[in-house]
Amino acid sequence: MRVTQTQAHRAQLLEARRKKADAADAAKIASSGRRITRPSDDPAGARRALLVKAASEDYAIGRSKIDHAGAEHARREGALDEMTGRLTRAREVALSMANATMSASERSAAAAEIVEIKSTLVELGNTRFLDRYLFAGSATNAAAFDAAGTYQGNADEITVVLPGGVESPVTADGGALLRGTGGDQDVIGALDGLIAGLQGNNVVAIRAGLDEVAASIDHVIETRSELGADVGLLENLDAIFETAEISLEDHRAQIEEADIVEAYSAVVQTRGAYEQALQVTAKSRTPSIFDLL
Amino acid sequence: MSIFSILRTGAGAMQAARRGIAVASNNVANADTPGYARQRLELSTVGTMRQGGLLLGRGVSADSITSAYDRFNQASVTTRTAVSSYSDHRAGAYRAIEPVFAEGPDGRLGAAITQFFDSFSRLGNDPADPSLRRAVLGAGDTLAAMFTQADTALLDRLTVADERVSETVTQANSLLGQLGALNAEITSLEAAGGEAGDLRSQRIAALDSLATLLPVRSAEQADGSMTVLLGGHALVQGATTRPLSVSVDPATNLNRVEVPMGGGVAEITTQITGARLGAVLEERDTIIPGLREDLDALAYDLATEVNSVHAAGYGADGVTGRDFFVAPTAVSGAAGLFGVHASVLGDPDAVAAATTAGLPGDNTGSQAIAALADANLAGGGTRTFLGFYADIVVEVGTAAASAYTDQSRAEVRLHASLDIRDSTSGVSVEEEALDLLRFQDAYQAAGRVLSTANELMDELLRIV
Repeated sequence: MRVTQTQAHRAQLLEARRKKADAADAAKIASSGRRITRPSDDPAGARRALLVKAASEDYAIGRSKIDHAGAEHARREGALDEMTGRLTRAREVALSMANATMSASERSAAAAEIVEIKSTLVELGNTRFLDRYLFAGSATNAAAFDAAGTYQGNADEITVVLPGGVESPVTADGGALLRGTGGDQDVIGALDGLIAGLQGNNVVAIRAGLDEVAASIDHVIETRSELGADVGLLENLDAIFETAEISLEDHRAQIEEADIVEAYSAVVQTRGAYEQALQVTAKSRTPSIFDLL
Repeated sequence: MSIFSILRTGAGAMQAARRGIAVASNNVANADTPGYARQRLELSTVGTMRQGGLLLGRGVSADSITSAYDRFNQASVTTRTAVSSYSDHRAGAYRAIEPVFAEGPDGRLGAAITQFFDSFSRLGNDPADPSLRRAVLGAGDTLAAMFTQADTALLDRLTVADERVSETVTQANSLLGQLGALNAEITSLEAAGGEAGDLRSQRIAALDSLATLLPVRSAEQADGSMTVLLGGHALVQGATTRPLSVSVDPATNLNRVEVPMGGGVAEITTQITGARLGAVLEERDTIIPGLREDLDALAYDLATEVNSVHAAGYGADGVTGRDFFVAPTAVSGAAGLFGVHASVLGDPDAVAAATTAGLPGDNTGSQAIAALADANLAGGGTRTFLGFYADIVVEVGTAAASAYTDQSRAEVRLHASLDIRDSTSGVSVEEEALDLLRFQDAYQAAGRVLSTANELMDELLRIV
């Protein structure tokens, strides 16, 4: 087949152009560190990367929710711990005042202490985290209890949804905790009964109040245990989410990011191929017959 | 044979050699001229005469100049030129479209969808927190910006493609005019017995250029003219041309392509499926509208579903019934008109995080909106919003990758056709150099014949 100068030039141009394009692509991957810079680089990979990134962010948000819930739980736990301490003191007072040898004035002084304990419990029932009342149900912008200990919140349990559909409560029903709504122990009521018994110098009422205070301590401890279980669950979930987030991030990196060693190797290789193509082009421009005539 | 006959023979030989050198020189000069087919001087003997008992030749005649043109090779080049041009422009279209759907390290529409629903999820931690509420509005605004930017980018590209339709037709008409004029010159010259090799080469170059613009076919006629066809329409026939025209379709506000027919015009827009014009029309009428429809469907479903849940919820101000996004009235145009509703924009308290009025800790509304991210509410209830968008990305990526591969293959095939054409019609500088030497030697030899005949004449006159 005849080969003309135009054919030879066209073949050299095509080859040089291709090698240059390959070198440019390799340089783009090496400099950006990404093997997918546009959908056509790897359409299925681009899709997977989008979905993996979203899943990874889900877990990141889940962990931030756990952080936030954990902080609120810690605050609530602290309040419950202190409630237990104050109720224990109330039981001690009630136990000693149940003794038949105690006088009316001693019982009257003890009543004043129980009034103080009740006031402390009401304060603890109005515990806040940032600007949210933690024991008011969903009515978090107002105090859960008034000064008399009447519950002003609601029975709503606000939860946050974590990845996997797990729900974690972030508020609590103060009425169930301290006022016996829903059939639970009425802690404030128990203290009111004890106060009335002490002020009335009524041993029978004092003994009944003692039993109620003991039941109140058990109730608060039980509530605290449930909260502890929630905290434990959140800690376990946090560890799982952290592992999942790292695993997804690794997966995303494998899909989207370039292996730097491979990328630089490709740059060297394609650059070499391009230079070789140029050298071949230069050498193929041998003297024409006109130069030899 | 007289001395004068010898002189005539020598002069004829010198003339033939001179013409041979001229043809070779013309070939060398046009070695790189697009469409040029190498020319060859056809020589033949003048004839013989009887002198005494001898038959003596009367020299050489330069009869004609022929062109090494092969119409079959040319037809292949024309077809593959159109295919290569189509593939080039189609690949170029996808190169311009892909960045709209490339997420990159900072993310675009895909990341904005995820972050929008994430902002509602975070709001569930503390619905009364103004910073979380502002973050929701910010994420909504970003999502709206991503939708409108994507739609605007596609619309801009569609506008450019529409302008290219008009521009391509104008360029094509100019080439059609050149072809008609060349047809007239060639037929006239050849009818008068002249040689039209150079004009034919110009016609090939014009045809090659036209084939990049329109998917044409050509057919050479007995009179030397070339008929150029677009589908079944003869755009050039002899010296007559039927230039294409462009007018705006009132229904679409886009350019339509027409061909003269029966005193009027006939629209042929959908019949043009190859070369640059075919690629531009495909981009304008199929590729971009398809992607805009997908974006519109996603925007419509997302806005509608979010609004449905948001309107049922309560803002921190106790107001219900608010849409979060501007409610789309139709699927078409939903992406371009996507935006945060004016009743919510700039007012964090208007974000409906609760499903009961007056309960600042109630996060059930915000959680319900966050949960929409994992529900199959897009694509007719078959995919999540992000899943639907991810499928658009795959569609674009796959089509683009295929277009780039097609471009590469078409280029290789075109080059193969050009090589075959050039192997027959192209100029080889080495061949022409040898021809120059050959005709130069012939010229020198013919000159020697003349000088010998001259000496014979001088001798004869001296004797006489």
